[in-house]
Amino acid sequence: MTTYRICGDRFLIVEFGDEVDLSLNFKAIFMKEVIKKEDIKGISDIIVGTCALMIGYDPFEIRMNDLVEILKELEKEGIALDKKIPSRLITIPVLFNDRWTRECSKAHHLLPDLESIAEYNGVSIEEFVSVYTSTDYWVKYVGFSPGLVAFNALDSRKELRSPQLKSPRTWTPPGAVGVHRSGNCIYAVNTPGGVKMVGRTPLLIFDINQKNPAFKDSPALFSPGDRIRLIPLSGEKEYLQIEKNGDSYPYEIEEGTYSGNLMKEAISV
Amino acid sequence: MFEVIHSGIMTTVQDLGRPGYSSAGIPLSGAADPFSLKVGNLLVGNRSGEAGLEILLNGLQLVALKKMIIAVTGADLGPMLNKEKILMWSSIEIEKGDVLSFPFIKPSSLKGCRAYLTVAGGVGVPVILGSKSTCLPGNFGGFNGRAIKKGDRIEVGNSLLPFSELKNRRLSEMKRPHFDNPWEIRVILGPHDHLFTEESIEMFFSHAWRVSYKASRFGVRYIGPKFNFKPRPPHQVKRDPKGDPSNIPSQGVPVGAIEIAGGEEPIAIGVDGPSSTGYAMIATIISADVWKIGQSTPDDLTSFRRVGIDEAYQILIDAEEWIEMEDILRGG
Repeated sequence: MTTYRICGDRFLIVEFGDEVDLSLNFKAIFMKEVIKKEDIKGISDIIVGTCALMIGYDPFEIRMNDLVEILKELEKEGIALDKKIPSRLITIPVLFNDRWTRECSKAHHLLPDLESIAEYNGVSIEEFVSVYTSTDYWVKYVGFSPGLVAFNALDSRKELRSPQLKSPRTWTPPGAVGVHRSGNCIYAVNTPGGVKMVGRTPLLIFDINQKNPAFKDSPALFSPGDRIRLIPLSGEKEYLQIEKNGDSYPYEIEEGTYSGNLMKEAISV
Repeated sequence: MFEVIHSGIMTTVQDLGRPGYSSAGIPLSGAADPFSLKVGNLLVGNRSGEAGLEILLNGLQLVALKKMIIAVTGADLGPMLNKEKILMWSSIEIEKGDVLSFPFIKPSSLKGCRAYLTVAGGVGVPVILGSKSTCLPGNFGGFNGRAIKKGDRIEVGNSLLPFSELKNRRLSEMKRPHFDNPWEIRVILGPHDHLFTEESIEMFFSHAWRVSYKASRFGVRYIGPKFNFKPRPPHQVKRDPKGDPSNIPSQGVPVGAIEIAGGEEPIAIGVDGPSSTGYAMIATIISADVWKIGQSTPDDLTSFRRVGIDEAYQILIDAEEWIEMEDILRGG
């Protein structure tokens, strides 16, 4: 059941449910694609959430009631899970248990997060890394802070969890990979944060200067509906080598599509 | 051109912001009180969306490195030119070597907290994604992606009009906004009012909320009673028995939304605020009133008044016809 909710005089929220459920997220992304194709006059933004869309409109071009009518018509055409959406597979190298996130925790008088997360999940650090990198992930949304990407395991058996910090950090190293109680994220810029950190990628996932061709369409690397493959790095030498050549680094991006049915199979294995 | 002698509490380059990039997590940014910036620009002959300096409270001191036409609008923070108080909402010619300063005034004796310094020709910084605004959460835009500091030299563009046409212009008194505390801020109920008890919604509209010291371009917190939520639906309890009823699955959040984190302090999302939230939003400030949170000062009182969406559209239409050139008067 889709619910339309009023959000001030410039935004409308379209809710597909109220749970962290990737098939609801698929519906939201699919609906975004449908709306984009329709090219409705007056729509300024479409922001994907976990199980909702926030649609920005210009009230001088279109009013909420008319917008809702158009969207209800579009919805009738079907947001079925057998439909496909564009979905790239993007490989991200990560140095787990890295020096920088450990130093950040230390600077906040906190123990290294990875140890507590491994303990919380009842595994060793090595086992954590091995399980954590054995599934591809689904990008639910981009945002909160610039370029931050939020994602969940496509193989739900591999999903690892962590409580959040009781009191948030005042800063976070860009590229830090975090695990929380309902998913994962990569911080794109230095920002305060309450999500515990397990490692760090040397790659930029947000570049306002858009130097690397990976950023040709947007300063944010990811879009909702992309998939992420995390590859563990052997050590700091390899990390620094990639970081140094960031502007010319050949990002591994495989163009593709994904259907809701494929996702349903993946998450219910 | 200016050189910064003292940075003040926080001074940033702002225009009308960077709309349309929320899906990349990029905030709107821009002036927290856009009306004041727009008028300031008209006074000095700029396009209304040109960049100026947003000045928070006190401490800023600048020296002019050439002859310029400037205006100071927004909150009256007591600006001085070479130790003499200058008129607000008026264009002024300043000479090379003149010192513009914002002395210390107790915030509790001020009305509003942000002033705008505009200059004929505009502040010269690179345009990034269509805007000169400083994006503090992304460390880009404005002056090197940060608030200005001592020793910075701020470039100024070329004036669109000869200085002789720009001197001594002022906004008619009648058209000037009031920064009076207590604030009345008009909101539309929702999107998540259905999660709150009716008593809590009524309390939200009847209580006089005090602006907390946690007030910034990111958001403004209000101090007052706690909120109560309706019982969570069974499928959510089943999934997460200890879940916080103020939590929602993350979704987009616009500037002006009022979220209730943990059922405690309402937070009104500011121009540099997050693009998504995991907290229930009880109401959303109408576009025409969002500037009021940009001028809200700690300890100010605020009441929220409910309006319908059609009323909000009409207020917005009226606000867009905000000013005509004839409201800009010539001569002292």
